[in-house]
Amino acid sequence: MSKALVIKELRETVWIVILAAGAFAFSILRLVGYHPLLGSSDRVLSIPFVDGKFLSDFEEIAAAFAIVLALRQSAWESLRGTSVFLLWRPISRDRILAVKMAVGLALLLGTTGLAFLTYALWAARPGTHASPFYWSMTIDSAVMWLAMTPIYLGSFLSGIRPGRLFGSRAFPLIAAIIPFGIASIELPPLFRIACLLAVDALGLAAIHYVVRSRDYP
Amino acid sequence: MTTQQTLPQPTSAARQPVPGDPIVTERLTKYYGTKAVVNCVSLSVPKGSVYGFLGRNGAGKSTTIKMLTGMVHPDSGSCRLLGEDSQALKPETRARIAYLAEGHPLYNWMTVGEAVRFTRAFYAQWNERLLERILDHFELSRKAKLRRLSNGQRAQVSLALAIAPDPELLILDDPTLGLDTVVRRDFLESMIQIIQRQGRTILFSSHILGDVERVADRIGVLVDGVLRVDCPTDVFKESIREVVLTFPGPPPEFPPCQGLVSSRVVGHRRELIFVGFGDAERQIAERLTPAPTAIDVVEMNLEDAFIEYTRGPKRSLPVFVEEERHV
Repeated sequence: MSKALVIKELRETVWIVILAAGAFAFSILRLVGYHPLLGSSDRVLSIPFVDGKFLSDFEEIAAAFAIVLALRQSAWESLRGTSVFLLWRPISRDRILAVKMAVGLALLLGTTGLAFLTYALWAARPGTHASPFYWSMTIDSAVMWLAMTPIYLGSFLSGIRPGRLFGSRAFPLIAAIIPFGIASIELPPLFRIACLLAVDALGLAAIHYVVRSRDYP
Repeated sequence: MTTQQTLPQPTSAARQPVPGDPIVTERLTKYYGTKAVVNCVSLSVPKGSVYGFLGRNGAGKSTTIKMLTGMVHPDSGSCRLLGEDSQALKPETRARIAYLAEGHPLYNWMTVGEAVRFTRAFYAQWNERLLERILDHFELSRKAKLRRLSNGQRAQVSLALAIAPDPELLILDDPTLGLDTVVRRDFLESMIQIIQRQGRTILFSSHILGDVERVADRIGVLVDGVLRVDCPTDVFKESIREVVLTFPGPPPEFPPCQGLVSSRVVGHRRELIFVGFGDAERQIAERLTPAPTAIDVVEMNLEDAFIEYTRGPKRSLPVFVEEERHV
């Protein structure tokens, strides 16, 4: 039954993944010196990762992807009334929730991780740009990659909370800005990662509580 | 004239729960804000019965059903399905119960076949032959997209998916809502033909009395969140009578008495709605001054009985008949 749920979640979110992958592809092609709209290419003179261009594009696309994906998996079910149909199936609510979030996080981390890795591998190839490359240059982007999970969980929490989306229901989504701050501050990477994981744990606990305690009128 | 709070109950009234009753609620209550949308509802549905759950729009039927299915938490009271607390139903118990939610929510992007495959994955017991027969009966193609189906066809798909796991108990929340008269009748007839078998219990809510009269052997009537009636359908019909008193002049007031639901004046007649009109009530009518020239006791069908019972006190109609005509 988990397989059926996984297939359903994938079918419902595939278009969001395609859009996000398209946006990442467009951004990376630009960063590696190819202009997709003009069909021309330039030499890359800036230093990958250090110049901040990748991080800027990455955080915008990944954050939008995380929010849309999470709301599609949560708020959409309530809006269409299908949450009642789904919750009545003979399977525990915890398992439904676990499958939904596992698929969502796998798609989010997989797609964003692939974009990050593609650019990093290009940057690591000698002769592609006029600067040295060390993997340590990618740490800030890697931490930002992990910062997408609290954004996803905050958006998911907003999606499953009852009420209108533009009221207090949106607080968790707004609070998801905090991980951006954590990921950006000049602190040891491991400390930042630990903070992000703590926020994730808080988000998971809140989601679990809301799913169990809310009404589905 | 009596008020909604003091509506009389039909004579046989509510039954006490017995062990094995598939649906039992005790003092079930739910507030939205300060309003009690469901107020101390205690009912028990006997095994093997078709229970019609009636009430006007906003009476609290859907909220009660959602509490039964664990979708809404009660503020107080409890409910049990197949002997288990509704708020903590095990998946194995839920597999024995079919629930058709209001509006037949389904995944619109699926085809009928995909919806079948998706739903089947959750059940250990699945009667594919029965499902096939139901889809054939309703002439539903497995390739049809759910978003392209009419409301009636979606209801049919929902019913087919609900029946295929061969449930012991069916809870249907206004299954004919939004269907036109012909489709509704076809759907109901098919529904009863398909799902009624020995020992299977059905609770279905509706505000269309004709539907309930045709299929329910027991009814519950919810008025403003309060369960006013819980008795066999025939008992309800037989208990409610319209009594028409005809007078030579303006009718006198009718004194409040047990069983009186409503009273109104139409011209020289006083129309009374009674639960259980007997000799005592007849004597009260005969002793009125002036005395009525005729006392007619009119039988009512379930729809009229329900309307009279749930609409509450009515204002007397203006006397148009005595107005002079100015041509």
